[in-house]
Amino acid sequence: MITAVYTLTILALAGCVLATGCAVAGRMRACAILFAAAWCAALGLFAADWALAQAPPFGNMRHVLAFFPLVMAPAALYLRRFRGLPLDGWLAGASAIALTGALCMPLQAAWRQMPALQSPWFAPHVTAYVISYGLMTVAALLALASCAGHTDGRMRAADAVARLAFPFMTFGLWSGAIWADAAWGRYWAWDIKEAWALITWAVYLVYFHLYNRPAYAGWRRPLLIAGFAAVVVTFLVVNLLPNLNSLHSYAG
Amino acid sequence: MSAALKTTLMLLGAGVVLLLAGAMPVGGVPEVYHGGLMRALGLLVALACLWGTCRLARGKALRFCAALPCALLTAAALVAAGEADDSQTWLAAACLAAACAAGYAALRLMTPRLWLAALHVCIAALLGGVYADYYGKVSGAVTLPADGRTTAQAMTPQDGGEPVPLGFTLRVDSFDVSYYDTTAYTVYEMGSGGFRSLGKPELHGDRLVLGQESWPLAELKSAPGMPRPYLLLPGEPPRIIMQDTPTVRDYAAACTLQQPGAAPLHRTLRVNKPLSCGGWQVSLMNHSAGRGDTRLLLMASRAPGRLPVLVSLVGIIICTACWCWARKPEQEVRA
Repeated sequence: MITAVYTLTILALAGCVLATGCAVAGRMRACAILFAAAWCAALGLFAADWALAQAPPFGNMRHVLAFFPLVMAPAALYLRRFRGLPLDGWLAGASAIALTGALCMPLQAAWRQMPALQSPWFAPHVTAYVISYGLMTVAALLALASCAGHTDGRMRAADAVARLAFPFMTFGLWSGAIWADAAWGRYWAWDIKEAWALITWAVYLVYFHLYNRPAYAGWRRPLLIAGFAAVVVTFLVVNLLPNLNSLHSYAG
Repeated sequence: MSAALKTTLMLLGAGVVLLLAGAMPVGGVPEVYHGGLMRALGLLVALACLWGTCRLARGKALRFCAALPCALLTAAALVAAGEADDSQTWLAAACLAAACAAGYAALRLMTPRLWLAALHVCIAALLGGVYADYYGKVSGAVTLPADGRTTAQAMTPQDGGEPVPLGFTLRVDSFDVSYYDTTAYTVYEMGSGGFRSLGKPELHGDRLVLGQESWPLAELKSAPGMPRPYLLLPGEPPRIIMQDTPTVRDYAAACTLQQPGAAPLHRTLRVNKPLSCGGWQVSLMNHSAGRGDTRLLLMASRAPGRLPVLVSLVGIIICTACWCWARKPEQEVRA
């Protein structure tokens, strides 16, 4: 099973990398097919992780990073079909970054779901955050890439992606509070993870107050990049820094 | 930049700065979260949200007054469905039906701008509930053995002080713990300084293998005074293979709650499924197994703002999704 986990991770990563390369080369159909293949490998990886953990595999950093392509591929399909934004290459690239991180993380085959995580909120809370963080990463990449050209088009795409992601981030943040009330008898504890999640949400609140005002169009790019920086701190730094006393330490 | 936008951005910026001050992994000062500055800022944000609501609903006030209760009722019905006991399936179903009906009405009445206005109302209501809890919440610990005899009538506040009566009697009749199947073992070396781990053997078929050595799993036996199955290995220094502590899968407590003049309530208390009685919420936090008895650590809290906060949170989620995912972004009007 452990061999299967690593094999499927590598296959999914290869699919995402090749999909990104096809998108760079302008071959969008090949990109979509390879991304779909990577999604299939990611689905197998998710199933293998579930079998290994005997529970929904969201308990550690590797689980969550390996989940990214599973939600990014449907998001790419949605953006292409319903929003007219062919961003498959960008989402495949973001998924490749996440899978590379997953390969660098320890497997933790002995992880088991502790009682506090056995809640119907567990999977939706983590899933919503994975979707929002992945899409906000793409929005930040588009904002950065707009410096090199296609400014209007890429910034409009970044706006659309951020607009798609923000409700998922809102759900992830406040469903966590509702879950905490049921689990610990208090909906907010000013835990460092909670505080940084609130900071991230607040940065995007500032962004949405300005993003459709032409006079302040220049603020969008730095705000998206600042929001992404907050995402990195919330998702990675808080989890990986040693000696941080956090109620969310089980997510590390 | 308009004065309204400038004020909003200043408030949000100040909020982000305060949050950062308390959340820095190195040198952070989390005490700011409980200080007067944060409370004052929260009050200003709540007032700014109400002001924003008025500006966003301008020109559609009547429609907003009709649609907002529908949106809030949707959120309240969803919260009520979540609060329903396991024995109140009919109540949960009725609440979900009410949520669907109210939600449909809200979808028909609301425009993207009005969803944004409702979002501001929900944030203001959230802050109102938070303030009610800040000044009025009481919470503390209750420790009970699971012996079916000992009762608790008061909780010990978290910040110290005299025990606060609950208004009802709580007793734990029984306690069940389930574990994951444990297939993890450790080889220890026994020395003058205690046990030193030498590694974790892997199970290959019916043998435990560590390096060049292997031992039959069947030879691990339980014994009085030993917490888990073990095998004493020959040789010097003395070594022992012991099964690792099993990982807790779930635990639940069968409780009896007795209010004066009322019939006793028998309920099961689990992690993530607190009990409600007499305005109190009782949560199962932890357990410890001693010699012959198990003690449970419970958290009892009475929070006047809890339900408004929960309804506001659900409202924020719904309003954010309805505004962000509206198919007609050109209908947005800047406040």
